[in-house]
Amino acid sequence: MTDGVAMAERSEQSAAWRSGAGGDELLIVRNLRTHFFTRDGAVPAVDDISFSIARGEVLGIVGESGSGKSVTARSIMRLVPLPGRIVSGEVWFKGQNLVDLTESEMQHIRGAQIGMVLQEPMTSLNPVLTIGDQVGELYRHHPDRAPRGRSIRQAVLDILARVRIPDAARRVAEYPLHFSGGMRQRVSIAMATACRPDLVIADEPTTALDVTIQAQVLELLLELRDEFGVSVLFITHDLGVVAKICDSVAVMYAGRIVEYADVESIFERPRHPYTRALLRSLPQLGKRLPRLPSIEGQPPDLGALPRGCAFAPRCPSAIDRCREAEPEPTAIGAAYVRCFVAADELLQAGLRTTPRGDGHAS
Amino acid sequence: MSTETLNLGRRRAARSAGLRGALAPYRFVRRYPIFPVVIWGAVVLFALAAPLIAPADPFRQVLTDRLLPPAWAGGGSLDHLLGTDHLGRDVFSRIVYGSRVTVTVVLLTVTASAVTGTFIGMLAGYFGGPLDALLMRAVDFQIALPALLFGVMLASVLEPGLNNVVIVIVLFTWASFARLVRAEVLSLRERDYVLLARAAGAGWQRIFARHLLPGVMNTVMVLGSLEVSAVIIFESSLSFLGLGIVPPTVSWGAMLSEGRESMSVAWWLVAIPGIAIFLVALAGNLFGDWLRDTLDPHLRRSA
Repeated sequence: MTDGVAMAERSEQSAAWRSGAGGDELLIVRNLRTHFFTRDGAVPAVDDISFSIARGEVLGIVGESGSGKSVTARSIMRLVPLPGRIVSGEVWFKGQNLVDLTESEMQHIRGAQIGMVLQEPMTSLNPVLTIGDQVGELYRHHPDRAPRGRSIRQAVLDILARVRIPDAARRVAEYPLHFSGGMRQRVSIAMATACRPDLVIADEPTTALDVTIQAQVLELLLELRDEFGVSVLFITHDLGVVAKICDSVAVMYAGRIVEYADVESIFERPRHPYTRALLRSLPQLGKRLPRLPSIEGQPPDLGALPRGCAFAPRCPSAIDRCREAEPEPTAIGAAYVRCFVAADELLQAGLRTTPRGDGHAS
Repeated sequence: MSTETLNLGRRRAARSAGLRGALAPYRFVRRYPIFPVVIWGAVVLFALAAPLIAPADPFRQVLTDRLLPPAWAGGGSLDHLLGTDHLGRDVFSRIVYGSRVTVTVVLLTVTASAVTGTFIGMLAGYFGGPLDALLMRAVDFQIALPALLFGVMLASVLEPGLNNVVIVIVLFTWASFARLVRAEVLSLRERDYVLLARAAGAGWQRIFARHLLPGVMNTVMVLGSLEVSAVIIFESSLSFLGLGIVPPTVSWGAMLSEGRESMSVAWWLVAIPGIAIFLVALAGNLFGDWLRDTLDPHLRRSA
């Protein structure tokens, strides 16, 4: 593998990435498991994941469809659809464990302290309510969060202007069908940020938009972060977007976070074979390939996971142990990787800071 | 080939244009609910202005004028447009007054069962799980019961009268609303905007009122107008069996029941209330069909 010394230097950087932010963690997710209890047995959609987000940080969660990204988001919001249920784990948000809160306590947090943006702008607004009504709803749910001395209408106009809806005063009375996809996504962002939340969960907010609109929406999210210090949990399968806006990245596969690190480490020194394969499958400018490399095989059925590492059947570097036991996270500073092969590489490089199987970095 | 098909197409178009012209009155009737509006307009007018419309006192018995046939039949006269019954009461006046019961029962029962059924259906569909299972088993139970038999039993335990008729009918109609609304809510609750409303901190009451109710309104209105005819027939059946509206209050079902005894000599005593019931029930069904077609954009295009 690459020479040990160079890796050691970089690893110190990645360790600094977390300890620098360490004092100001907004959200800490610890060993979260969300399972779906179907007729055919329990399906571990999210299985033992841990990560944290500092104030003002943008964390990207990447993974293919069905890897548990959205279920992670909805678990944090405590909006897991039936028959899903949070089985165990903790979600610490501003000093309280959201898993323990009652439904009415959660209602005070949702919308006010955590906002949410979804993928599909065409369906995320109610077609029979005006834009003004829908945005104003946020202040009606959370009167304490409405700007002081402004009527709801004024507050709505302010927030619409801030997400740059042109001619907001006229457009508040219009219905979603009068708005384009990009404009609707701005309205969604307005709703998610109306109450100045500490955290915005954006579940593939740009996937359904065309590229120029995508860029504008990303710009807007970053602006709001800079302006209010909002943290963002950004779910996507677009690695280009991750490189552009994220500070740190969690790569999910089959309900687990297989690699978690700062964004530079992920792109420059991916440790997990899955992360490496993902990066290899990205088209690169100026590089001509007869065929874009793809990952062989299919993502596993979560209801019938293979023994051992879930990625092993598709993994080019899999060894016998991978098919027998499930790798525990191996910490590299605050980052971690769930892979026997990667752990061995780290050991060779003299980089492993905790013995394998010693639980999580945090 | 292309010219041939073109000509064929043109000819077909021309023919269908002629057909369209000939069918114009039919299409007009299909497009607008003329028949239901006329029938229901008349019934509501009868109910509201019964004393002004009825030519005679519906309760006054003139024994010398017993069993007079309708005006158009042999021996009839214009004094009694629809004839008289076995006590010499004017049948037309009784039909006019009887519409009051029909309108009251329809309004009360359809509204009450739509409201309760919708609420129960929303609860079941939105919350799912054990609550859904419980409520839907109640619905199954309700629908499996033979309505008339059970209605007869209930009505005989309770005292006959308007209030109890309404209660019995509501007990038997809420379930179809609940079942339909639940199905609708099952799909509505998965909409992104419902999830986002929850993510915005909305409680279930707010979601019901703002996001689910507008979505199920169409369905409820269509079912409501279709239920109108079922309710009328149910009420008439109960009254016919003497378990619903009892004399001296006039109801079409009770008129049928009383007329049955003289049916062999005075056919109109059963035919006239029977036709009245048939017409308002048919009007309810046709209006429901029209409403469904109008509210459903998929059907609207093809109509």
